[in-house]
Amino acid sequence: MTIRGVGVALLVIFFLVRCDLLEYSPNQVYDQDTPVNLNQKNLDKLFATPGDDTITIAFVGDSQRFYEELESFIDTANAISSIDFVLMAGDISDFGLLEEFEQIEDILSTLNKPFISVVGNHDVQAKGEETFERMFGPLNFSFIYNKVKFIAHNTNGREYAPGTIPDMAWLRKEFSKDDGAQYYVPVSHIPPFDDDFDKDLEADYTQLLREKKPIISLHGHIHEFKDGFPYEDGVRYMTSHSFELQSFVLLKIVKGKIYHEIISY
Amino acid sequence: MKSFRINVVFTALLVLVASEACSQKSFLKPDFLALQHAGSIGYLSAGLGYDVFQSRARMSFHYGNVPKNLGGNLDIFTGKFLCVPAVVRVSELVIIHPIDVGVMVSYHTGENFKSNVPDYFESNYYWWHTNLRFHVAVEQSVNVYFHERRFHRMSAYIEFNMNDLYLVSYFTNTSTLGLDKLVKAGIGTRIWF
Repeated sequence: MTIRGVGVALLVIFFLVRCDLLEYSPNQVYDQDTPVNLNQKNLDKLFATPGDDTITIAFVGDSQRFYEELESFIDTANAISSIDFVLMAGDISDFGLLEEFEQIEDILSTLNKPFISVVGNHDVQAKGEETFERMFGPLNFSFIYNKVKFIAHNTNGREYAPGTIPDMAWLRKEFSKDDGAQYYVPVSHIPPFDDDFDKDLEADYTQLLREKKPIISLHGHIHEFKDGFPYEDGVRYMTSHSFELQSFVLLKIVKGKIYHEIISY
Repeated sequence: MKSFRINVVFTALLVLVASEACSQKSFLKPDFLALQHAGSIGYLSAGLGYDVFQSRARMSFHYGNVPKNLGGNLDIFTGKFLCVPAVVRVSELVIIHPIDVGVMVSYHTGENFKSNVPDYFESNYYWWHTNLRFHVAVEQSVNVYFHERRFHRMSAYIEFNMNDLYLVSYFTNTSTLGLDKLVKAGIGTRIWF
């Protein structure tokens, strides 16, 4: 009876561990099977596919707590074979909790194309910043695909000390590197014209973009599609729909020219 | 590792306080000491508690830690209140609690966790507090009694809980999110003195 009891107890513990039930805290940064470095892994997938003159991007906004909509999006995106990669403009999670990031990643793993994620203000709540960094990679990173340099960076300024985020020194360096890039596409969560952007840095930031002339600046956060020249300085800013609106921007970049259409699902 | 050592010291202190309390008759004397693994309140947590309402419920207070190498470093203080709606007497000395139900409040300390946000955010911008989590909990336990001993009862339990933010996620995505992913578990033991 005792041996049987111990056996049952060990089986229960084995089951709990295998099923990821034994949570130490909702705020723990990782658990035993948390994926790591997803952005680099997805970039490796992207670079392994032969590119052509046209870069086609599924540009999506905040996924937050819209899990059901995310599944519908994936069905739609998987059916569009021309999409080179999915670009997620931040707020992957709503509360910055590991369980959320893991649920979203679980659903995203059914995508048949690479996905790249930038960090949003909701993602850095509680221990979310550490979780995001470990799971996806650095908060500021860049990559060049078919001569277009995508400069992904953290613009969640109100979550940090004033005057520190976005990291202007890093941005200047990225725009100045002699790396063969012909065109620039900055990507971040909060656009500079939004109230949640650090107002101490708005002038510097927009001035830098004015100087470097990106072909477009991509953002999320405001939950709806917007496209225009808010500073009337030649710099085009675009935001994408968040998932609750069940639409995304299909963006095509052809020799430095931008084409887009809204796809509903 | 530092916090893990603090946790071990804290646990030892609790045991000391418990043994001291055991030798005195006092209103504040706790009834039991609890040691728990996981259950959303630390990799390891230790607590003291009381049987209340003629042992139809119990309340306890815990400190837990998640060391850095296991996804921390996190320090968590927790209060629990569980009701005992039914007991099953297996033998004179063994009683099973098939389903104790209750609530927990956990408090994470440290600079990453806040009870409010700066004034420049409009109210309800972040409507939840990152340092406070409210949980619903269900527990099953086996209780063994030792007559005429200083530690007269011991229990082994498994506790399932779901926190408020997981509940919100679940109820807004019932067709996508499974409860199996959002219900979390912990195992532990209680010693009555």
